[in-house]
Amino acid sequence: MKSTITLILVFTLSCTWAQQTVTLTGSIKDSMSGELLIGASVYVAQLKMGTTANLDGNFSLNLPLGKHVLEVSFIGYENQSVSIDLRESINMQIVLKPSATALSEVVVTDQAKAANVEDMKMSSEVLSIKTIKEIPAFMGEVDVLKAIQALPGVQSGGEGTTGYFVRGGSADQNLVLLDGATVYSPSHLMGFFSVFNADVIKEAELYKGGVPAQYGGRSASLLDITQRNGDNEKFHGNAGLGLIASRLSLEGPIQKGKSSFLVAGRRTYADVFTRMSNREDLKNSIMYFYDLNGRLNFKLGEKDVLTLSGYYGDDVLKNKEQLSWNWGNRTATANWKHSFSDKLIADISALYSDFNYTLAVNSTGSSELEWKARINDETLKADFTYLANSRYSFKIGAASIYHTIHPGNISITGSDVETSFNLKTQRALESSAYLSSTIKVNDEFTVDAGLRYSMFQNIGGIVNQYQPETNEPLSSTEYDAGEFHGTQGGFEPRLSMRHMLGTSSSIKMSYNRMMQYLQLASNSTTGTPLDIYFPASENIKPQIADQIALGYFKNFKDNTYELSAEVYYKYMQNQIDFKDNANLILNEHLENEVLSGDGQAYGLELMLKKTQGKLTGWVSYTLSHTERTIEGINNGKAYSPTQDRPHAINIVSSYQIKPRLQFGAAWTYSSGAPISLPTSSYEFDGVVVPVYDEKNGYRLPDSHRLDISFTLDGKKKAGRKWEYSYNFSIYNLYARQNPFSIQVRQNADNPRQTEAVQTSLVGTMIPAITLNIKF
Amino acid sequence: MKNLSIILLSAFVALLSSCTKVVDLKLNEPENKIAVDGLISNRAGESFVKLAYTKGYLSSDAPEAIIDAQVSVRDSDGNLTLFTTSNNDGLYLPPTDFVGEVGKTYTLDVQYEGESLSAESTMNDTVTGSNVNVIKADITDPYFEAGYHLLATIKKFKEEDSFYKGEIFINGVKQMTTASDIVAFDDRMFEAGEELEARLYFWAETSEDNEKPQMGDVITLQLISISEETYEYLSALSETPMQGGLFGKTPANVPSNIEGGLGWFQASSFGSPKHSMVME
Repeated sequence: MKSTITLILVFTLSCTWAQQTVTLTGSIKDSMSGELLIGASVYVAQLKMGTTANLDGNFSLNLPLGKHVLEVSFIGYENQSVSIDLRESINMQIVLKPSATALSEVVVTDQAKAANVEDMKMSSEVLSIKTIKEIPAFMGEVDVLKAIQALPGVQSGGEGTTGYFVRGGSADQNLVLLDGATVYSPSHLMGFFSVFNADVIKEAELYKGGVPAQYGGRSASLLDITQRNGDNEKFHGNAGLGLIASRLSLEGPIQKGKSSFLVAGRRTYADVFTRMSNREDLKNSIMYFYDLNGRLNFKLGEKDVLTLSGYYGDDVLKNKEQLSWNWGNRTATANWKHSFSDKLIADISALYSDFNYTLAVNSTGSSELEWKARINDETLKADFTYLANSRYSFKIGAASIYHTIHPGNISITGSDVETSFNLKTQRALESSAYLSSTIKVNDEFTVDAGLRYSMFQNIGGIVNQYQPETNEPLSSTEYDAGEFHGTQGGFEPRLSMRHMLGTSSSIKMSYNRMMQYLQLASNSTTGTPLDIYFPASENIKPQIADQIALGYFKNFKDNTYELSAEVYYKYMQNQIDFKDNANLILNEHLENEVLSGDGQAYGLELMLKKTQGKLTGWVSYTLSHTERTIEGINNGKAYSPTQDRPHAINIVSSYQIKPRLQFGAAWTYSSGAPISLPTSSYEFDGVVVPVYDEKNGYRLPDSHRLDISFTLDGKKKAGRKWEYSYNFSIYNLYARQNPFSIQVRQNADNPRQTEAVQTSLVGTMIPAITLNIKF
Repeated sequence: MKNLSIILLSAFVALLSSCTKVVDLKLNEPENKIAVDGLISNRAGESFVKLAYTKGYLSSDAPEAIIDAQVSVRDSDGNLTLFTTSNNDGLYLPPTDFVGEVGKTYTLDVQYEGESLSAESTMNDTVTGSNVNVIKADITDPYFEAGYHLLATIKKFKEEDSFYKGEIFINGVKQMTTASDIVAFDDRMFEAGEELEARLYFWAETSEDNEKPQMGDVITLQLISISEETYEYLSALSETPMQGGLFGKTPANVPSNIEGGLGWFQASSFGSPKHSMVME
């Protein structure tokens, strides 16, 4: 009897307690631009409770009825205290004023400051555009992808390239999203610049592991880049005059306070100078790129936000009338966010991405060859977030991508010849669905568990069955235009756990499986803009990567310093490589050039970051190993793929010398990339033929480089409506000749004598100056 | 594609201060293997088999010749021809009246110190070109790089694809020093009866006088009909100087059709050579 009463009592108590809790929801905005401040924090000091605004800029807190003081803060903004008297669940708008002072003087709450330790995420890094801009840039062009390469666990594809490798994965295992749409070839001019214009980017988030269940499609990493919304309060713009390119961006309200636009353009003008050059060979060469970005944001009532954004960019290269080559990416995003209630939010997107190139060659003067290839995706995607209470939240969603790949169409036209050669268009549907949940077990322990199912189906086309050693198909099956075939799929479990050790340190663990159905057909170490993706099929299994990571996170000195240490192990199945001398360009039997096997990667990543004060930045060290074992390559023995760099060190720093003068420096070091070198030779028709006995058995010498920059802000004058700053940078300050490749050749004067030649792409220091104007 | 990469490379590198330097490397010295360079020609006195050991890649020594091997070639009709050596230089030659015949498959057999090597190759129909032309382009030419260009027109004469090797001579001197000078192409993209125009060779304006044609020189194009396998071998070989570089393929061994060794054995038919005189 007594126990029953106790039980009833407990029940009643808990009911009354539950009744007394109400939900406070809202959003936090910039008072000037009206932009939602993702990651801004709301903290109730009395209750030691708090939360941060989610990706949509919304927050939700379960609080007891009564009076509370909310402390609202965000990096770069003045703190604000808001007193409320809660009588029921309410929704409120909070605005923060941008702080006039530099970052070093901003005070943020413990909540936001300790995010490194308290956040569920591991193996991920958010780079704000401010941080990205502080890193010295090549020719003064601020570059998101270069910034990414300074993070532990990320290896640069080589000097001057924006290709990068994450935790032993190849470059095509990185998914790059711009406002949710895939960017297939994120670089300009052979990789010296990235396609992302820093003026429109809000932030870039890189996941090396622990990827949330809502993302998939590539097996190594996810780089999620978001463009910012235009100012919905007043019209203004940014302009930049650089050594190689100029930029202009304009933004402003469409309907004040409710909707905004942001448009930006960038173009290089090296070709303008070459055209004026006296050198005849340069005069006829044209090389430039441009980018156009746009974003429209509409707030439709209290519950709906509609965003339309897009990117359009091209590279153009022309050498006399003989050759013209252009390639470019286009993306488009339509996103609708709707809150059904304080607790249920829908996020629905329609996305389009396209990468294409056209090459026209007129090598004889009378007949012209034109070669086109293209890949494009049409995506529909829906995500629903349900915030049950402060302990549970759920996410559920599905997506479907329709891929169309035109691997290559060639036409030759001339006075007496007209011929064309078309590789079959490939179509496929990549679908996925997921469910994930974040469960706060207690104050110390939180679990994030998710399950994703992905599926890939080829549509129509021809499937060949090959016999070994030849490209003659043994038999082939033709499918109707709408017929699905070659369906492959699988579950991708995702799990993250965090355990707090006191208030300033935590340990985190994550496991995830990632599946990849598209891969790049590239048989060169660096990749070329002629590379095109090709799909999984009856002949090609999807790539699978299982990764487990363990990390320790600690903050020191009132969160001024953040230390993180992570170890990971990754096992990769169905990794592909290509047969020796495989010709992947315009090859209708591409699938028969692929060999597959397994791989593994493991490593240790250490990072010490200073986030406050005049001096900020980080030091990181990565120790790693990765290998592939593929039957038919290197005699079936394990070998190091090109991305294997055992040691890497990065030091990135920014120092506020004076209120108007900021200094940035970045030093990077990494072990040399593995390369193959011939060990013996024989002669054929007088030519020395190299003989290799091992794949990637040698390494290039180590690479290292120091870049610096100074940013001087112009004096502000009262009444002047514009501000300016100069950025002066030196790339490769100590003129290191970092090896790009080592090749062997016959000596031109004595053909029987062979020699090894090292090439450095950037063999000197490159200074640059950029003028930035804000109006 | 090789030419294209070179054009792109030069255009791009012009804007950068890229630099190259010869470096010292320490490479492993694996044990030597037997390498074959063998040709069966449809013309008398041109067939040969050359045998030598491989050597360390960076060694400047001459390859060590194999001088007392037994070398024989059998054709698809069962006729056996012995190839003999007389000069201790590893060069094995058939009787002087030996000629290969189009359509026949030739099988090479080499016996040496208990080792046995074999290979086979089929001789394809003879091909010829027409309209061989050498044009000189100056620096303002809208289409061509400055220098001399060898252009040829070749008619695809049958339904089946043909594979070609071009040998280029200035006044009878073969233009062949490194793998980059190999000219090999095919007519797979064309229909029977169509003519393909090809720019087969290029001498840059900037080369030394003795390395480029002069007024009045006679340029000869010798087209050789090769098998698809030989074409693939020559293409792979011609790309070796680009391997591992910007846009170059991943370094890999070129194929070999020698069972038990390295190298290449080919049966190829030579068409009648075409000449053109260099004029301004």
